[in-house]
Amino acid sequence: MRIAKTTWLLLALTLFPARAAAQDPGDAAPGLDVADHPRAERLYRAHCARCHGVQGLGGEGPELARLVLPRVADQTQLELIIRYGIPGTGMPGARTTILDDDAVSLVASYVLWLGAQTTADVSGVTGDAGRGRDLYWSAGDCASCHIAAGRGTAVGPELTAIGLRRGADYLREALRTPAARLPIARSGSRSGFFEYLPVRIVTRGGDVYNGMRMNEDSFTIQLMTLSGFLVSLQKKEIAEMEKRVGHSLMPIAQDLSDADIEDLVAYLTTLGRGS
Amino acid sequence: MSERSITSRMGRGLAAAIGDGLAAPIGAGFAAAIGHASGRTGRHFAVAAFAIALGVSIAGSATAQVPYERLVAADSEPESWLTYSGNYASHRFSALDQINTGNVADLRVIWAYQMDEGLIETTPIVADGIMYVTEPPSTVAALDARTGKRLWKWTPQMGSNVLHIGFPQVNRGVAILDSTLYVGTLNAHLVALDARSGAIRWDVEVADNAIGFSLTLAPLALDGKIIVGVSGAEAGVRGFIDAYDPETGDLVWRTYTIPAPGEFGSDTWGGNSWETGGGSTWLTGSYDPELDLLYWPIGNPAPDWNGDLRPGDNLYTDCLLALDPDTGEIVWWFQFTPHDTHDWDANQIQVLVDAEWEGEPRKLVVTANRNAFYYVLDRETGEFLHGTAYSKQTWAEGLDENGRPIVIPGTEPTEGGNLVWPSLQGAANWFSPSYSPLTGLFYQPTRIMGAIYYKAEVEYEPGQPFYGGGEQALRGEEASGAVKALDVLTGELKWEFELQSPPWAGVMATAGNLVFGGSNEGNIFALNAETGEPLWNFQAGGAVRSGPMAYEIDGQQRIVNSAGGTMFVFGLGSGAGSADGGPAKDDGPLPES
Repeated sequence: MRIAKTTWLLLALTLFPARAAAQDPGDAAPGLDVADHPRAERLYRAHCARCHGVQGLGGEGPELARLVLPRVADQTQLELIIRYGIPGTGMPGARTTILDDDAVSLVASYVLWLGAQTTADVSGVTGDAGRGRDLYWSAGDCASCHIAAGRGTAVGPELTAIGLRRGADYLREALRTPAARLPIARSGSRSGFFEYLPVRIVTRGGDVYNGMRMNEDSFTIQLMTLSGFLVSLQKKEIAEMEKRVGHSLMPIAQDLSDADIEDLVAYLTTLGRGS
Repeated sequence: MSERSITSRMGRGLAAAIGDGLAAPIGAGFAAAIGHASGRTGRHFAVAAFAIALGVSIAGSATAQVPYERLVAADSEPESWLTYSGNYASHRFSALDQINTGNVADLRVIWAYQMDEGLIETTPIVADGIMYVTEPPSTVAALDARTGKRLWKWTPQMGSNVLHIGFPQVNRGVAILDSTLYVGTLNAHLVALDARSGAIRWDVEVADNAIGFSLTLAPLALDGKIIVGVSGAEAGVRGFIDAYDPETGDLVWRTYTIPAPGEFGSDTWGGNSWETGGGSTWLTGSYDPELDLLYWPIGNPAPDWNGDLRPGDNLYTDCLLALDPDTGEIVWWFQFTPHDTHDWDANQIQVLVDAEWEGEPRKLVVTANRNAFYYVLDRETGEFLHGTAYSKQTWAEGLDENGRPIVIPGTEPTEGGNLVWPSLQGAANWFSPSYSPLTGLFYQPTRIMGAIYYKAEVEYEPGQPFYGGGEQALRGEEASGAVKALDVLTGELKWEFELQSPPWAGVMATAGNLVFGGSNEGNIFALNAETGEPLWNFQAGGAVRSGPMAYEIDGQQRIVNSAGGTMFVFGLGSGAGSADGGPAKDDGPLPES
C-alpha cells in the first residue's frame, strides 16, 4: 500500500527551490520595512523554523506559508500567539528575554510575508469572467462536484475563495490536466498529506469502493465515494487498496475550447475577491 | 503476584491493618484501603480509613516504600512499574500475561485521567497501588491506580520567563526511591517530594535556566544516588550528568560531557567551541548493578547544523558513556556520529541485553540510534561488535570495523539546502523501544523521513537559540513510520507494522506475546510480538507521544498509554467498581491538594 513518492518530492523541490533564500526586498510584507527583512528572516529561522520549517512548509508544527492561518485574523493576533503560545500544543510562548516586542512584531510580519508569497498570481487572465460564470453554472457542470458560495455538491474542493489561493496558471492546469497537482492538507493531523486522493478499495466480502480519501490511520480509512456516500472501513476487512497518486477524479474538460477554459479561469480568479 | 512481594508488602504495614479489618484483598497500598472503605461502608468510614492510613504511613515513614532493593529486583514484581523503562536494563517489557494474543481484542478503557494542557510524554510509576505521573509542564500527581482518582498534585512555581529552547514544555516522569519521588522541572530544578503527600522534601537548582538549561527527563534512582541529565544544547550549553544525594539534595558528582582544555578529548574541539558545545543529557540512562556501570546517552553538538564553528569529532557529543556511578568517572565511551551536523543526539534508550555472542555469553548494550543505525556494543568495554542501518539513510556508506560511520561526502547542511535521510528528528528519538526476552526481538518505533538541511551563520548569545541553520522536513505521503521488530543481535528486520506518519510514541512488549504502541493518528494498538499482526486498536482521538507501561491491581492487568491530553488505562472485564475489580467507587472524600 506504500505509494511511490518520488513524484511529490520532485514537485516539492521544484515548487520551492528558492523560497528559503528568498530575499527580494521588493517582496517585503506590508508593515515590514525593507531594511528589516533580513533580520526578520534570521529571527524566523532562529525561533520558528525548527518546527515550522525553514520554508514555512511545516514539520512538527503546521505550515505557515499560506494565505489564511486558521487562528490568525490579523497581525496583532499573530503577535499574541507568538508571545503567549497555544496552550495544549507544542507552540510555546516567546519569553520576553528571547524576543522583545519589536522582534515579535518582525517575526509576525515575516510569517505573514511567507503567506503573502502564496497569493495567487492573476496577472495572466485573458478570458471573460462573465462568460466563465455562465459556463461554470450551466454547461460546465462544475457545481455537480464543487461548492461555491454555498451552492453545489461537495465532492471536490470548495471553490468559494479559490481566486485567493490559486493563480491563473494553476487553474488553467487544473482544468486541462487535473491530475497534475493534488491539493495538500495544510493543517491538522493530516497536514502534508494529499487531499482528494482517489482510492479504489475491494473488501474481503467483494464490495468495491471508489472515492476520495478523507482520513486514514493504520487501522481504518475514511472515504467519500463517487456517489457521495461517506464510508469508513477497517483495513483488516480490505482485500485490495489502490491509492492512485497522480490521478484526479476531476474529469478532463475535453468538450471545452481553449477560449472556454480561459473564461472559466477568469471567473474562478474572481471567487473570493469580492467581485 | 509472588509470595515474596505479598509478604514484603504486608510487612510494610502501610495498608495491612486496614486491609485486614476490611477483609481487603492482598497487596494494595492505601489506595486499596480507600477503595474498599468507600465502597463498602460509605463516606464516613472512608474518612476514618484514610486517616488511619495516613497515620500508619506517618508513623511508619522510616520504613522505605520502594528501597533500592526493590528497584534492582523490579523484574520480580511485574505488578509494579518502578522505573521509567520498567527495569534498570531499560527493556520496557512487562512480564504480565493476563492480557494476551487471545483476549487483547476485548481490551477497553477502565479509567482515564485528564492532564493539564500540553504534550504528554510521561511514563507513570506504579508502586503499591499508587500511580505517580507527571503532567505538562512539570507537575506531579499521585493517583489511585485502581480508580484513577487523584490523591494529590504538585505544581512548581516557575515564573513566566522559563526558557525551553529547541523542545516543547514536556516532562517524562518521576523516579521513586524509598518514600520519595524525584522530578526534574522545566526551569532546571530537581525536586524531592514526599510520595504520600506531595510535600517538598528538598528543591535544588541543577543549572541556570536563563542560559537554556532545563530538565525534562525522568530521573534515575540508584543505590543512594539520584542521577539526572539536562536539556539545552540548542541554546549552546555545556552538558553534564549529575548525581544527587537522595536524602539531602547535595550534589555528589558532576561529569561534563564536553572536556575542558587539557582533559581527554579536548583536542576534538577547535578554539573555544567546547564552552558552548552542547552535549546535553536529556534522556534517562540504564544501569547494570553487577558491573556497577551507569550508561548514559549524550546529545548533539552545538551549534546543530553549522559544524564549521567546532572543528573535530566533538567528544562526547552523540556518544554513549559508561560511568562509575560512585564517582561519575567515564569508564568508556563510544561515539555514534562524530562531528554531527544533523542534530542526531544519541539520546535514545540504551537497552542492556545478556546473550550469547559468537558462542560466548556476553553482556551487551544495544541501541537504535537517531542516525538510522542499530548498534551492538560490549557493555563491559564499549567494544563495537556490530552495526547496521535499520531505517532509510543517505548519509553514510556504512560503519567501519570500529563502528565509525563512513560518511558520504556532500551530505552536510548547505546554505541552499541539502536533502538527507533521516530528518533532524532522526529515525529514532527519545520515545522508547522495547526488548522482549521471550522473542529475542528489539521493537523500535521508526521515523522514515528525510529533510532538506540548511546551514547558516550564527553567533552564541546566552539564552538564545544556537542552531546555525535549520531544516525543511519532507512530510505527508513523502514520509512514513513503522514499528520495526529487529533481531536483537543482528538488527535484521523480522517484521514491520506500517504507520501513517513518523511516530513520537514508544512501545512495550509483554509476556502476553504482545507489543503495545501508539501513532500520531490517535491509535493505541497491540501487535502480535512474533508476527506484527495487528490485534487491537483504540482510536484515542489525539496523537500518542508517550511510552506504554503495564501494572496489575486486584489481580487485573492494566495497560497505560496517553493520547492528546488524556491518559488511558485499559483492561479486560468491567474493571473498577465491578465484582472482579473490587467495589471501588469514586464517591470517597479524597483530599484535594
